[in-house]
Amino acid sequence: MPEPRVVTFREALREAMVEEMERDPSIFLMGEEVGHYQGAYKVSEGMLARFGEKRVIDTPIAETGFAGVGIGAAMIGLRPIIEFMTWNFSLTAYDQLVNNAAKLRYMSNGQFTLPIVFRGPGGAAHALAAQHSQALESLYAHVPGLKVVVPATPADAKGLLKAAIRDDNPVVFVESEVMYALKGEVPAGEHVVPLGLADVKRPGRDVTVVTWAKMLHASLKAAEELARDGIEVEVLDLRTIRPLDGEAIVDSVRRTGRCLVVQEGWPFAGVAAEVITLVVREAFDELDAPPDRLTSVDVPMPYATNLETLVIPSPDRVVAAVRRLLGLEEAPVRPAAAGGTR
Amino acid sequence: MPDVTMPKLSDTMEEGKILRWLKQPGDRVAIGDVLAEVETDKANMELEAFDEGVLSEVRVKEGESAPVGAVIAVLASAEQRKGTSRPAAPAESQKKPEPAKPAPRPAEVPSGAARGEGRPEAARESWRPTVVRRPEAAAEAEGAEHVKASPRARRLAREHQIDLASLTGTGPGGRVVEKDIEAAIAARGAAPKREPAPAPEASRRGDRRLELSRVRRTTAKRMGESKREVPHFYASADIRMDEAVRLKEALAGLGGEFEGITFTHLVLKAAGVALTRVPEVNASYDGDAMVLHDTVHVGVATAVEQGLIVPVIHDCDREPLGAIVQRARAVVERARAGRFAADDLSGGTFTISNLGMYPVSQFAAVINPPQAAILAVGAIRAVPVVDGDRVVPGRVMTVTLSCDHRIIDGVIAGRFLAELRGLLERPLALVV
Repeated sequence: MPEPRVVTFREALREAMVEEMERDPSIFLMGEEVGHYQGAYKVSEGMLARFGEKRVIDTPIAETGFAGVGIGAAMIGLRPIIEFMTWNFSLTAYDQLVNNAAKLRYMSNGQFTLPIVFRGPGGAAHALAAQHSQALESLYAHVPGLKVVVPATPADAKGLLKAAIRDDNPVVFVESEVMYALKGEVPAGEHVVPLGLADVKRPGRDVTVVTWAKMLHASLKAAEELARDGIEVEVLDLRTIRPLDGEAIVDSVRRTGRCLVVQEGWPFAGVAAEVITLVVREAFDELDAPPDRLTSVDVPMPYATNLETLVIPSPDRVVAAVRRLLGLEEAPVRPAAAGGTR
Repeated sequence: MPDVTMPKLSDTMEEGKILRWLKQPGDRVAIGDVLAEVETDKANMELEAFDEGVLSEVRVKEGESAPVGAVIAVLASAEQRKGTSRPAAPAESQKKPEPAKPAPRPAEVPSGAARGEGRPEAARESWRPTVVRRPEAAAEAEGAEHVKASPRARRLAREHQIDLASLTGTGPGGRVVEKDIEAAIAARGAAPKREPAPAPEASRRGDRRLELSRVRRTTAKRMGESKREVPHFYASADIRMDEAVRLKEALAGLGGEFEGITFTHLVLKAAGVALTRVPEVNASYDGDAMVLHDTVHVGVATAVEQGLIVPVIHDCDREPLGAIVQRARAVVERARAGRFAADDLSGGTFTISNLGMYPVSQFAAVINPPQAAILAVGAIRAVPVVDGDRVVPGRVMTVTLSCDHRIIDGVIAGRFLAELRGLLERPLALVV
């Protein structure tokens, strides 16, 4: 086996697309600025030159339109990769994803398959304000018929994107602006990570922290800090939130007896709630503390950077939440409202 | 319509049994009237009315038990009585307990039930200073003690046959968590394994198996908890009692309020004063805090037919010796009769155990949690004592202080014993 190489998250994504496009001529990339501008975040840099205008297609600023074109292309046998400049802009194409991409295989009784990947960065970046700082994966994970993939490392980004492109179902693939420059080892040669498998990024015996995407790094940092106090946190990276790797979650919580879900994005009806439901139902007799979640604060993202920092879960807040779970810190007073915020 | 709830009549009470209703539905009730006799884990007590009105409904029959905080009867105001008389509902909470459903917290009780008609809430509440509501205990099945424990702890306890009620939870809010069970398993490790069904074997060898009384069961549980949880250490002091003996005889001769005075009463007063001088001994360990009590209520370990109880003499620091004599005699008498006033068993901040009437020269007692110390008092002995450079006959009593080392250090114990010895060796200070 050749040595793994250190590459950035954005290079890993590009490698996945390039390798798959070279392997399968039915794959093409379409979106705003993916071609001549080399990608708004340079993910598709060099791809236009390599594959030409028929396979790397610049679109107008019209998400509903190009998402719909992609869905139609998938229905007749092509395998489109649709890039949203960010997932915030996907909301204008929400109907295409929810009512067409997610439904047509089912409603046609399998006459159509939809091998399509929608990808782009999600979540907050830095001072982009309320409309451009949203972590929307919970919204898409709500819909049966969509798969939702949320990588956190370059290796997973490459392996999962290749698996997503090969999947015959529509896949929502959420990247992150602030992770594009993240470097990490990626195995050399063919590297595919199957969808629906979580990964223990750090083993531990005291608390299971379930997380994904950017929050993996906050959680790992917190785990490192807690280890100095002798608290061993197991950090489970979901990698795919739909399908959810329930087995891995329950296995881990059965061992540790405690579960914290760290989620970027609003708490109400989010993925964390789904994970906790599963844990309570499947691991009830192993729980030594009520499962808890740490999420973004239940507000539109403030523009001010000092406030933005307070909204997104930070390593410090993960540490505090883990300590609360262990009974080492008092729980804060919680608002009683139905959409209680944390 | 004010509800009458099962009050907490002792610090350890979790449920009470109605022995007798002294008021019947339809009877008029004034504040302070005795409604019923209640058997608690320690004794039989009288339940007084906190509200006035007409007893409209009795929800717990004689001979039945109810958890602390459960509604056992309902009082209607006189006006209400004329208009509506609700048919007595069956005692749902007793017959079909729903353990999953928490009892309503006081604030969540439907307003109709919580508010005394015609009497402001605050006034009503002020009648209940010693009644601590424990809503979490109220929903438990009859006979079962409610213990806050994580599901994991419950499963482990089940698997290892550990009684959750015998543990002190170290989790948030006192929840029993996995490590508490592990500690219990470890503590048990050295001891011989419990035999689940020893009865047939035992009876063949002639052993007798006597069911423990409620008092004895409570004692067993709490003493076990204390020795498992509380790191005890012991400090003893010899106290010359020659002057105390003379004083006691003189006071007994006076009669009046001093009639029936014993050495226990002198020690009660001396300990009460010493506790104000060394307040760290009049304290409780509470997680991250040490609670210094602002009252000095001293219990006297008392043997009764059913076991051991600790009637409490209130304000031993402030009350004059004569009053302490009277109070102690009255409360011990009630204890022996098994009938208590509501605060006879509660509020203790320190305990004295006196075996001086037996040939016990000294012993060490087990702390009565959440108190931080207990004083074991031995017999007064005639012994040779060195007085200056002469050996003279003297009377000496040895006392041993058991301390909770989590909050009391040896220096504190030493200071307390020094104060106590000073007071008893020059006991005139106890009467002036």
